[in-house]
Formats: sequence, C-alpha cells, structure tokens
Amino acid sequence: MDSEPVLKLKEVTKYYPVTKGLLFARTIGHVRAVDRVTLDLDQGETLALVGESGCGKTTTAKLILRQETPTSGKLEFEGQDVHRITGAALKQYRTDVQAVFQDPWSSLNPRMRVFDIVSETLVVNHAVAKGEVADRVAKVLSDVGLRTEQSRNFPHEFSGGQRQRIAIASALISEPKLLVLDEPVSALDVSIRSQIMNLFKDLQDLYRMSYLMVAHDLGTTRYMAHKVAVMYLGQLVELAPTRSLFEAPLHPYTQALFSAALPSHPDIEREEIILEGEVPSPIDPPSGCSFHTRCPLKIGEVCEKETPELTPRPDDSQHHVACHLYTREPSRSPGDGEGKRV
Amino acid sequence: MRSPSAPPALEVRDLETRIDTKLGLIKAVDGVSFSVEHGKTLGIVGESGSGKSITALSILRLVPKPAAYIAKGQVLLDGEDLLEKSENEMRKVRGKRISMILQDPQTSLNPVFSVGFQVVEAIGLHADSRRKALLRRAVEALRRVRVADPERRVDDFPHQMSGGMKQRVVGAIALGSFPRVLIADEPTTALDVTIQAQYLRLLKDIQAETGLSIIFITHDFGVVARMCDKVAVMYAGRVVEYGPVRQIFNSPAHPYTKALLNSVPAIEEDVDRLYSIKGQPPAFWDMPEGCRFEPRCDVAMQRCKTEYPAKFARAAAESGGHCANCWALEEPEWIPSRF
Amino acid sequence: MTDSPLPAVRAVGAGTRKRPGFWRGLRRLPLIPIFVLVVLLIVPALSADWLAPHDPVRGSIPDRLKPPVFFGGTWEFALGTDRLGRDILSRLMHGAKVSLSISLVGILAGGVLGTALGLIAGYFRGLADAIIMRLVDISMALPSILLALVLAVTAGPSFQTIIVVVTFVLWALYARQVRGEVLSIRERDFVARARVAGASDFRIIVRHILPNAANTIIVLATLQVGSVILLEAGLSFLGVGIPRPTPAWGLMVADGRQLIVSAWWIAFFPGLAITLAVFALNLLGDWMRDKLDPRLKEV
Repeated sequence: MDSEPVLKLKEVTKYYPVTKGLLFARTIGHVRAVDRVTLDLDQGETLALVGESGCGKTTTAKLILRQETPTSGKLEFEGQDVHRITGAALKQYRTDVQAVFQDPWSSLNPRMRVFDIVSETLVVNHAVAKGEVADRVAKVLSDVGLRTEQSRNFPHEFSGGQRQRIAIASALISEPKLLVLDEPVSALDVSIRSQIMNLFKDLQDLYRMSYLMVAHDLGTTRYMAHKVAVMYLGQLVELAPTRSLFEAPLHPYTQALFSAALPSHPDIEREEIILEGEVPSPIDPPSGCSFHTRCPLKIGEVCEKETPELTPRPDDSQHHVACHLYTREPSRSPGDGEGKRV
Repeated sequence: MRSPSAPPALEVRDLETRIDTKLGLIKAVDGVSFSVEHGKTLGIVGESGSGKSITALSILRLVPKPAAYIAKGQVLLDGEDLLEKSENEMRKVRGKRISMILQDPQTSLNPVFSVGFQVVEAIGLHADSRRKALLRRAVEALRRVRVADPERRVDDFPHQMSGGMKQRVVGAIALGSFPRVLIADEPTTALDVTIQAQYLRLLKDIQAETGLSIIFITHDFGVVARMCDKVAVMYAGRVVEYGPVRQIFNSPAHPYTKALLNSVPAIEEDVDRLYSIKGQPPAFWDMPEGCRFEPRCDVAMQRCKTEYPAKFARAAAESGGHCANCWALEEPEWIPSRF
Repeated sequence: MTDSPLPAVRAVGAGTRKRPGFWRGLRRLPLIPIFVLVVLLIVPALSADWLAPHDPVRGSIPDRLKPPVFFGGTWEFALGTDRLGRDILSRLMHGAKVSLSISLVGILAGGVLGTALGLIAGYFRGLADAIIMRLVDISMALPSILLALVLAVTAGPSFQTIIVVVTFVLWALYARQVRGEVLSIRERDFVARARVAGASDFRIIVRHILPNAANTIIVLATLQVGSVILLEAGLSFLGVGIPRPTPAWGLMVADGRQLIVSAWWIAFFPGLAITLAVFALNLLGDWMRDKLDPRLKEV
C-alpha cells in the first residue's frame, strides 16, 4: 500500500522457559509461544489474528503492548523498536498504542469512577494540561455513545455493553494510532456485539486508527478485519486479505478451521474436515511443518523435515501461505506412502 | 419407533420460576412452554438474563434454593409431571432419565478423582460390584463419547486432559445411564472452534444411535443452525418465538429474532454493515409493562407499550407450529393461538 | 395441593418490594452485636474517666471483697470489689479502654505492616515474595505466648510490649491474606490496562490493587479485634501483658482466680466481658464478611 506500515513485526519470537523443581528451579524446555512471526499493519487497517487457544495470538498482542519482551526478533512502531524506546518516546508510544480487552467486567477497576478510568492514560503520561482532561473525557464519552454525566458513576452501574464502551473510551482518550483488540466482543451478549463492532468500525473511519484484533470467532473476523493472519502453534500459517482468505483458504489448517465454523443457516452444509487428535504441546512442537501430525493433505517426508516458509502466491501477492503443497511439486518418496485424506 | 400420537419426550407448559433477589421478587422464567420430540433437538436461544439457563434448571428442579422456586407450570417427561414428584423420586430422574451438560468442563469434574471413577459413580453402580466390571463400564462409556484409547485414559485425572476431552468425559457421565433427554447448557462455549465442531458432531451421532432428545441452550445461532430441529427464542424470561428451525431462519416473525439474525456476522459472505439492536435487555426489576422488547423494537406500536402481545401462530399448515408473540402479526397469515 | 413438592405460591409483590433503602439497610444490620459492643466496649472506653464511679487503681481496704448488688452488696459497688477494695465496675470500664486501645493500635500496626508486605510480595513476586513468605511462615510458627514471655522478661511488661507482640502476631495473617488477594487482582484486565497506559508500579498498587483488596483487609481487621482482646487477656493473665495495677480484663481474671470460690465476682465479670465482647465481634466480623466479600454477593 501507499504509506509505510504503522506496525511491523520481524521474525518475532517468544519462548517461555519451562521449569521444574520448587526450590532450585531448572529449565527443562521452552514453550514456543510465538515463533518467527513477521507481519505488517497499515494505517487505518484491521488485522485479525485467528487461531485456537495456545496458538500464540494473545502472546503476540502482549508483545505489542510491551507486556512481554520478545526472545528474538523485532517489533517496530513507526520505525522505532518497540522494546528499545525509553523516555519521552516511550510515553508517546503508550499514548499511541492502546488496548481493549475481552471482558469488560474485568477490565474496569470497580473502585474507580468512570472519569478516572477513562482519563487514566492522560493522567499517568501527563499528556495534556489538567484543565483539558475533562473536555477530552467528555469528547470520548460522546464518541462511544455515553453521556458526560455518566462519568461520575462507577462501573457496576453499567451493563456489559456500556462497560465495553467505557473501556473503548479509555483507550481512545489519548488519540491512539493503534488499538490492540483482544477478543473485544466475545464476552458480550449477542444483541450487543454488533453495536460494539459497528462502533469500532465507525471510530476507525473517524480517526484512521489501525486495529490489531485477536479473535477466535470467524464471523466477527470476516466482518471486522481487512487482513487475517492464521496462527497455529506459534507460527503464522496463512496471511491474506480477508476476502481472499475466506473465499479460498489455502493452508490445510485454515481449511479445517473454516470447515469447523458454525453455519449461519441450517441449510448450509459444509464438508467438515475433521482433524485427528489435538493440538500438540508447544513445549516440544513437531519438527518441520508443525501441522504435519494432523494434516489431512500431508505430502510426505518434506513436511516432517522442512519448515515451510510463508510465501506469497504467484497469482495473488497479498495472499501468503506457509505450506509445502504450494511451494513444490508433490513428490512422494516410496517409503512413506500416500497423504491421508478425509 | 413410536406412534405419532405418543407424548413428546419432554414438554414444558406455562412454567414460571421466581427468584427472590435483593431488588425484589422477579419472574426469571415467565410462562414458558415448549416441547421436544423423541430423537429431536430443541434449541433455546437467548442472551444472558433471558431465563434460558433457569428454565433448564427448572426442568430438573435444580433452581438455587431458597432464593428461587418454581411457582407454577408443568414439566412433563413422557407424560409424567416432574413438578409433582417428591425430591426422592426426582433423584431417580436426574442423571438417569434426564441428564445435563454444563458449560464449563473445568468445574463439572472433580479434580481429585480419576475420570473413570467419576464415570462409574455417575452410572450409579455400587462399590460391591467387581472392579473389573466397573472398569469395563467406564471404558465403554468413554468409548461412546469417542475418547481415544479409553483403556488408558480411564485412570487419568481431569487435569491431565484437554478442555475438549474433559467435556467428552462430562458427556460420558451425562450419557452413562442412557437418559432419554439431555439438557446441554452451552456445552461448547468454552471450547475451540475445531473442538466444538467435533463435540457437536459427537452429540449428533449419539442422538442418531440412541434416539436421545436434546435441549440445547445457547446464545449462538450457529449452534442452532447446526444442531436443532426446533427453536424457542427467549427474551426477558419469556419465549417470544417458537417453531421449526428453518421457519425461524427463513422467515423469522418476531422483531427480536429478526434483529438477532441480522446482527450476527456470517462467515459465508461479506456484510457491509450489520444491523444492531439499540439499547439493552430490560432488567427484571424494571420490566416494561407491555411487550418486553418494545423499547428496542423498530416496529413498536402504541399498543405494545401497554399490553403484552398475544401469541399468533402461522396459519399455513406446513409451518410446523411456528408461533410468536407480537402485535405486528395481527394479519391474515397469522391466527391467534391459545396455546 | 397436598404434599406438593412446590412451595405454595408465596405472597408475592407486596411487602418484599419498595421499602426505602435506608430502612432496609438498617434492618439488615446486626443490631444485637452492635448493641453489646457499644454498651460493653465503646461507651465505657470513651467515658470511663468521667462515668466510672470509683478510682480503678486505688481501693479502700475497708471496702474489700464486697459482693455485687444482688448478692448482698450495695449499689455503691454494683459489681462488687476485689481484694484491695477496688470497684470491679470501674475497673471493667477502664479495662475496656485498655482492651480497645490495644486492639486498635495493634491491629493498625500489624495491619499496615502486613498489608504493605503482602502487597509487595503479591505484586512483585520473585525474591521479595519468597523472603516475605518465609518470614510469614516463621512468624506463624513461633508461639506468641513464648515470644511475649521473652519480650516481657527482657523489656519488661508494658503497653508497648503488648503492642509489639500483637503486631508481630498479626502482620503475618495480613501479609498472607493480602498477598493471595493481590495475586488474583493483578491478573485482572484493569491492571493490564493500567500497565499499557504506562502507570507506575506505585500507582497500580495504590490506585488499582489496594482499593480492591480493601474489603478483605477490613473484614480481617474486624474479625481480629476479638482475637486481640483474647490475646491481651491471655498475656495479662500470665503476667506478661499489661503491668499491674492498670486495669485490664485479663489481669482482673488472673487476680480473681485464687478467690474464685469465695469471691467469684472478681474473675466472673471480666471473664463475662471478654466472652461477650469477643462473641459480638466475631458475629460482626462474619456479617461484614458476608456484606463485603464480593464472592458471597448476589444470589
């Protein structure tokens, strides 16, 4: 696209040590939470990270929010290394990047008034003059559809949807460029979800913010995202514009994931790809392609030995997939038989 | 299997459950009626606070005492009214003729016992049976819910299993004594997409094998679309629309159902802008006098503010008992319905 | 409806609803424990200097061992006198002052110390947590009576000694409880949000964690007033608490124990006072816990 990406992840990796022993803990292995993830996020764009629990999408969000530091690799926000910045630049980063979490019952301090919750980012970063804080609070509250008087109330006086609006207001107040949305509607009631999703879309149109959204619901993803990154065991397996991903998923895992999604009408019958077994432990992930243990389209030995790289499709340079099916001719060595198909 | 005139597997008539809260006495379930045929699945869809879970608990008479109690109605299991039974008789119904699966497998299993023990205990075998026989029953039950390698897994403890596996064990416990009716209260909400698909498939397979009737409580229309034959849509303690699943999806009648269906993003198509229902569900202690959806309804009339809508049934014979409570249905294709 | 398992439809609507909040709130207060505490502890403690009929310390030998008023005594010494002719009622009133002030100061000191350490341990984890929690274990393993004896022997029994002992006994309870609470609060998303906003650790602890742990601390403090009174009484009874002749309830029981057969009232009334006060405080503490503990809220 035309401008420089707002956020760039380059080979970002996060390992957690697994320790054993109570008194003298020793490391017995590493959980590969995020493994060499590379992606860009443009201004005004929504990128969704999808995958099942333990796939590393939440850890990626945490890395962006500086709640975790990467084991290796680099995150760049407007050209600056997110984990190296200090001082004024760090203060700026903390106002430029904000988050909205899943559960509005947990993300608002029950002992603080709405005003203090919403204004916190400004106050701790001394971002604006004291006199201006009240005006800014009033503005963001109206942006999210709440009334100024409600800033005197405590969170428990609001319903779930309103609480999420408060959480959004508190993220908006510092006029961020990037919002990290961690399952922002999945804790809300069905009749409230579309309100909040539409609010996010309106706010994005209004302020040209970029969203990095962590999601497991594919309908929400299709509606909200411009671009989708599918993760499996810490790795990016497919990265594509939303429409081309949903119309033609390429990676066998993405295909299985989509086939498992619930239909929006009883007459929609999808061919269900049932994956064998469960997601392997991230402590000792499979060699080669980490999906090869469950893959119904496994080609052969190459899947077990070589890690497929995320490569663009020849016919669509925006659509990236990490799978040997698309990078080489299916070559079957006589020994290991045919790929399993279901 | 059964003649069409036989009573449905489970029928709930005009059920009313009240809860005494700090803010006053509320009717959490207010005149709810529905039925499930043998081997069929009924979906109860609603948001939190719609009364769907209390309805489920009321069927088993497990509402939290002493705050909540069933004030009136009938729960007919094969024609027998469960509300007339003594607590002792009820104990022979729960887990044996009607079972329940709850949302969170984490809390449904006891962490200090092996899953085999918990399955055996639920099947209700006594300790004096021989250990080998017990073990075999437990293994069978686990195999029925497609737990891989049940001979080995039977000695596992819950913490050694994944969420999906645990929910299967919960299923094995619930189905252990071959109940006729299974109440599933959002059993897949805590599960991942692919695990959810496996679980729903499993329930369907078991239903096909055993003729089990399922009451599926959910907030997710996707689950309804995949699983259910009939749907009851609940709003603020009442069933507002009830009918065969295709009727509900193809021609929803109640404005709430329509709005809900339009506000859920589909994965099959791009939607430019989702419909969103304004406002939020009413609080039980602050119920609108007339239709409870009136404050959020786009087609509300003056009458809706003061009078709770009568029930109208679709006149067409092939509608399969599709009915809804809405004054906007006072038109020729719909006829007032007493029941 | 014979023998129906259903409760008959209770009187609905009227009565249970629409009572003004204030009266509802008042009705739910535990009035009896509060009344006992006011009469037994608070009023005497605040007014002993003016209302006590006699000097609690100086007695008159001619008036010694007078029985209480309904057991052959007079209204002048309503609850009788002790061996030195001191008025039991006056001593009880002054004793309330001693008990209350020790409880308040001790709980405050122990509470502040324990809360601070609990916050540090729970919030920062790591080495600080390990050290603080081992100190808690050690402190809980030490018998408080033994500690008091050692302190009393080395520093001499005094008000300060008691406070030190009380603090030492209490802090560990606070530290442990507060730490547990902090461990769960710090995982809540509002703490994550504050971190994302760049709030300092100090701000997070003071604005986000402490206010949410406050209920736990208040409940713990209420429940502990009773045990501190018991502890003080025990220490004084053993002679390592409040030094004579200051009137303290435990000390009064100790003084009366040799004469329990001939002059039962000397030990009986302070003993009764301790029992009633602790019982009422425990009831109040339980009520507070029900009221404030969010886990017990709602239906």
